[in-house]
Amino acid sequence: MISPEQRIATLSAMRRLVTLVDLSEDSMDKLAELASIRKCTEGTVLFSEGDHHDQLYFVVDGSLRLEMTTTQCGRQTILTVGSGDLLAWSAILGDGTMTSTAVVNEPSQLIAIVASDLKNELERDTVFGYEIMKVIAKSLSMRLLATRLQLLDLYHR
Amino acid sequence: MTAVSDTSRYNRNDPWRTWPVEVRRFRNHSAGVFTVDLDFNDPDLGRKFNFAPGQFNMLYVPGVGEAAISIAGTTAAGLIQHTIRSVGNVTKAIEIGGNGMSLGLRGPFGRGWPLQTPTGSEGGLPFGLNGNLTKYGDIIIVAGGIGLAPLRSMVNHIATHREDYGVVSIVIGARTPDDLLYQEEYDVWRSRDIIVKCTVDRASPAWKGQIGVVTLLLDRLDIPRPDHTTLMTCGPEVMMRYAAKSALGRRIPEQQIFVTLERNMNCAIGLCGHCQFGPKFICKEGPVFRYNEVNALLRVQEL
Amino acid sequence: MAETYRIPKAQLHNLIELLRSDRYTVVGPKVEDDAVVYAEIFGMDDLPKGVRDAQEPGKYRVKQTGHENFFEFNVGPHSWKQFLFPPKTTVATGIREANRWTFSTPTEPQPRFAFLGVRACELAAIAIQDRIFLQGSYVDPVYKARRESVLIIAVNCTVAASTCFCTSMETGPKCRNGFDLALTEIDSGFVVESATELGNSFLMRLKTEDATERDIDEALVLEKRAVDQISKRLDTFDIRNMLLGNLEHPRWDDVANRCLSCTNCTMVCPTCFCSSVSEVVDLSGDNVQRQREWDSCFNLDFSYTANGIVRNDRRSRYRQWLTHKLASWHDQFDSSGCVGCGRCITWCPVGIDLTEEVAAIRNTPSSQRMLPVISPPASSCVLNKRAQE
Repeated sequence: MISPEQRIATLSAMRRLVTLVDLSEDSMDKLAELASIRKCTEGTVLFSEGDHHDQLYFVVDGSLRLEMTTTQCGRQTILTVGSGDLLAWSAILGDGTMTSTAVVNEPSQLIAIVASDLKNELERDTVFGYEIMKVIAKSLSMRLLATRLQLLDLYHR
Repeated sequence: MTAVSDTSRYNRNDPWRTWPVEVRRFRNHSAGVFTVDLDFNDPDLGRKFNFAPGQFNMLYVPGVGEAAISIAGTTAAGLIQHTIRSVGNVTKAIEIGGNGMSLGLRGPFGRGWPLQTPTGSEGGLPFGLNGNLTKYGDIIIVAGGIGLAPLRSMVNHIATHREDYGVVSIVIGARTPDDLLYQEEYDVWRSRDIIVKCTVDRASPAWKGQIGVVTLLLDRLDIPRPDHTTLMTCGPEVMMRYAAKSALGRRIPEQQIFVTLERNMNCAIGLCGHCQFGPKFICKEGPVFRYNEVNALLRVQEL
Repeated sequence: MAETYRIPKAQLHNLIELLRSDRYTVVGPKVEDDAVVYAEIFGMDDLPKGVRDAQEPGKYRVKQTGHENFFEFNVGPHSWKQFLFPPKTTVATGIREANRWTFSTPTEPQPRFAFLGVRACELAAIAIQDRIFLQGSYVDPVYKARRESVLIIAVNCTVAASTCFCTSMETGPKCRNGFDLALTEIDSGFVVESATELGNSFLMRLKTEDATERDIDEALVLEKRAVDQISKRLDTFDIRNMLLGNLEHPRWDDVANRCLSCTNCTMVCPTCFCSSVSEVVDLSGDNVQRQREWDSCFNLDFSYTANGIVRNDRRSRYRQWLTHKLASWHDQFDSSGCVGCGRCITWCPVGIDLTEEVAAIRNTPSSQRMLPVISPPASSCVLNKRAQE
């Protein structure tokens, strides 16, 4: 069981995230019930491409790199993520299969949430579900915009 | 009366007066991007060349033409620095000419970055490190690609007058690690208590830093006092628009966001008509603009 | 208060000779290539006596009617801007010696012009160009030198072309200021109004009489005839906001289908001022002249940047020209850029009429999005004080 001190620490880390700033107090508490703080050292592989993974994460601080593998170029880093970013959304959105490998670049602090527990709670409490989905949708749209800007190759000659 | 004591004084009535300069140092950064240090053949002129960070000069290759290039800084010896990307006839000619090339210079022109006057009354904002009052508040600089060049002189200005500013951060984006300009200066800036973060769009295997578009670095920055934060950005127009959008989302007031715009520049004195952007002459009222002056114009295609 | 006199028509010849003997280059209307153009005048015989013009969108004809008047026509393809803002002029030169360049700006004296026959709309156009070339952050030295020495003899229009709309722009047809002498051609001579010491100094050397009441009445009737003949109108009410609030109006596509992007309108327009500097090099490569030439926003590469051509189609280029002329000009120079001379309508090969284009947009506004009305004042961006000195 998670201790009250841990719960308070998780809540305070969550409150610092710009990504979660629009959550109501109730939803914040509910999410904190399902969450825990995870500290990772450099080089830790959080999850691998193709794996079935049952956690999703919000980065509190630090930095991780996302890699994808192609036959032509082997492992390539496509993006680095940091404070406020959402990771492993495929755990609740898709079939739970990860689309990239996440490796810790610098010592990082993450908020880890058990995906299956979260999924159940979202189904059960649709008001909470709507708020969490809004947070996820917003993260996704920002990631999509960033990816598009990357694709535009803005500095091309 | 032969020697003119500084380049800006004579300009109004003799705006085509061109000063001879020589490339005293030529430094390659990456393919097609280089920095030249220019020496006025008259030492008096060099010492008194006054410019505001964000302004530009017209560099002249006789027989080829002029190009508008932002002033990237000055050296201790009074040489004027320009970082140039060779894309057209003039810039290619300067690249080929290399060290020792004899050029012409007109300038400085344009409106530079805000919050520079050491003893100005405008822009005075409270709060800074340790809760002490600072003149200009917190600064965020967002630079993309060669857009770092006109911002470099601003960063150096801030570093020289560090006590006038609060929390200062600069986020820098480039296409690849080789394209990040002035990397050897980032630690110098950090030593002046400036937060420096950089990212690339595409990494080489050796790159261990951030990857992704530069606006992501802006999103992750701590902005403790948005009301007292000024954001300055230079880079591709799309990047600047999204940097401004992100800044607005973080509640930095619209009138405290500054962008730089670029158009065809022919005379730099507001008389040839080329650089117009809606009602604005970029050479006179820019290239630095307050975002709320131009955001409606930016949304019109082919303006 | 200006004094009014009358001179017999033949005295105009004396005036021209006096000006020439005072080393003025007299330029005035002359028929060349089937048009009334502005060229050097050596005597009264050079003037277009008996000539009338007929103008319509895309059409211009002169004909000899045999009447006795010297100025009974309206403006042709030339404007006075070609003398104050020459189509081609050297702005700087460079010399290379021992691999080092030195540069200089021209110091030769500029010609001294006397403009004979300047219409009210053209006086307004000169005033507009004065604001551009003399009252901005930088002064054009060629314009300044020529403008300071020019002597202006204006002429009040007694007829109007179908393409004229100076009344809508409040620039004419009556000449009110900006001249040294103003003439109205009546049957028995010219009623002359003198406005300056300089104008007086020449008038006093002619055989003048005080203008009688009959002379003045005759002049007024003829001046009114010009007003009555004006049929074209441009509704200028709130035109700046109206145009800048309709930048995506479908009419721009419509006019783009007709416009050839030929630049005629900008060449004949008396206020258009766009230019480009090009390099002229001798064979040795050691001597360079920087030549400023008229350019046009309709030229494709006018808006070329390293990232591409900004105005890459006729729609955006036509829109730029029209919105600059009638709207943005207000932001830049506190007045309209248009004087209502109608040249752009007459000389457009496909007869595009900007008064119609404006009316079409005004009658069917398409968007509510308005550009900011005025720029914030200059002090909003703080410049390093040292750089401003």
